[in-house]
Amino acid sequence: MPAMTMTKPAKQAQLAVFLGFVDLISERYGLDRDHAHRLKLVLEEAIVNVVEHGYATRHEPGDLTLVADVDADGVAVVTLQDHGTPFGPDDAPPPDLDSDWVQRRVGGLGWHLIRELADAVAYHPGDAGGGRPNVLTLRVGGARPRADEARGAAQGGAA
Amino acid sequence: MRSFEVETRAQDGATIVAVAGSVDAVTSPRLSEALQAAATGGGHRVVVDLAGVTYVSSAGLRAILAGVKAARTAGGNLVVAAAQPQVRDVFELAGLTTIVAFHDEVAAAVAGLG
Repeated sequence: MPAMTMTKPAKQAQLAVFLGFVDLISERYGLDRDHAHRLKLVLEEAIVNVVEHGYATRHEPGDLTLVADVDADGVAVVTLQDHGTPFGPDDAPPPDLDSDWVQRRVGGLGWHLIRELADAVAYHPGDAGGGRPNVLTLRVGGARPRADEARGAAQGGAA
Repeated sequence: MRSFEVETRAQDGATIVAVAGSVDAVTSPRLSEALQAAATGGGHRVVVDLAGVTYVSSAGLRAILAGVKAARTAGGNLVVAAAQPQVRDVFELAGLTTIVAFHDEVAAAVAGLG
């Protein structure tokens, strides 16, 4: 089964389209309920980061590209590519989870959830221009392994 | 169209904000609006009924934390009722269960408001 890809402008008006694509990834790769939930959460947080912050200094936001695939071990691998201001997991301060309600910040939870729920997170900053993109790769298990995907597709084709 | 509904009603001196569907970056502004209205109006006693919620992201957590702050600043409180385990887990990961009281049922949540 080929990788799934979508590219749209990284703007608020496209958020529902991006989130709909995330639901399709889990459905297509057969993630179980728990892993589908985890994948949905980490991808929403990552997409929202790009939409709300990545192009904040630009008059018109650039594109965000999502590429999803599954490996031989049944791990869903999703990359997000954008040309906005680089900002990775190491740039995000950890939230203070022990502060009281007065001190607790309303924001800052997105990267925390990504770090907690993804099986692996890798970030390679780009050049913040039209050249090399920022690439965030997120891995979440629980999908049908790629070999099974290929067999399923072959059986489907023969039926 | 993403599934999301929010309804507000009065019950035993509290305002119940019943939510259903997916509370995400697209739908959470509607929850924020309902919670701010409930927290700053009436007796500032709010129960957020999450029984029908299947998914919550940090956008939903922010809406509820902002609601807690608004209700307490006004001299009241906001508590959560009937969250499904998967939804409650997200609150726990975010460290919010130490700030917001969780109850299994709406009636207990109303009583818990004191």
